Amino acid sequence: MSRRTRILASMYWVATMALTGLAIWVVAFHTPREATMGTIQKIFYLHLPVAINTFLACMVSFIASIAFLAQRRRVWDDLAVAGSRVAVQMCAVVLITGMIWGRSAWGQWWTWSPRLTFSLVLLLLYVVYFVIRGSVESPQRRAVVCAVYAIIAFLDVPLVYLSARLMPDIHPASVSLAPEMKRTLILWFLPVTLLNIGLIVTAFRVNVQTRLHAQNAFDPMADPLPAAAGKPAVGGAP
Amino acid sequence: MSDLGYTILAYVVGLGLTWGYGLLLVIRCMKFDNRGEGAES
Repeated sequence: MSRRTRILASMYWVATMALTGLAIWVVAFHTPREATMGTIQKIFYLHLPVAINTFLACMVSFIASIAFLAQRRRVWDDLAVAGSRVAVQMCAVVLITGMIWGRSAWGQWWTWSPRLTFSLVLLLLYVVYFVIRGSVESPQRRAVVCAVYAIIAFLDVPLVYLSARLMPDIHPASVSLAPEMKRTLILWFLPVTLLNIGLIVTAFRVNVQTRLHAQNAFDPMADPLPAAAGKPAVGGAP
Repeated sequence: MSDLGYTILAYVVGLGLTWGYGLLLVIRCMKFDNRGEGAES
């Protein structure tokens, strides 16, 4: 990574952190308490943006998997893995924050309502994606199998979205908010979306570099890493 | 636990998981960058 890129990346993370701090401050001290649910409703400002960003991460994995099957370039596989990894992590946060909210609002941690069930299925589908990755030895075959699987797994995303609208569900399908609450919700979308993009891009970079290292380890005569490109590779792979 | 306690718990767990994961990724990325620079020098 060049010095300029490193400075830009640092600025990106600092801005995301500052926005997260600002959003916490606004939700804690400036957003009014909801009349019927009280303080517990404030979980919603984190829960909804993370849920939407889970869909975005799943979409990145879906689009990258299609691109991989079309072009067979390994970078698309690296991006699909990054999207799936972040989708698992974000989906876990959605379920945990939802469960904590449910414990207080409904009096139970979990109920098998359509949206909750489809959300749990979504998490499990992307966990299985990594189980499959670990079980196929050939890298090329692994990438093809996982790309097909990721495309099928994405079909659960519209089910999660539509389940509360099309089926009787304890989970609210839509929420009407006061203008101040809407502003807080919009503010929370900023740091969560920046965090999501940052996680996907960083996970993608780690995947690419891990793959290049693995290739170099198998083939000492292979090209050096991009950071060392242009210089002679001394002593082969680490 | 009170409603405030549950709300704080949700934010701590939610943000802790996302930022914690982000930090891990950034550290891994920096390790690769340092290795690359080591190969360069």
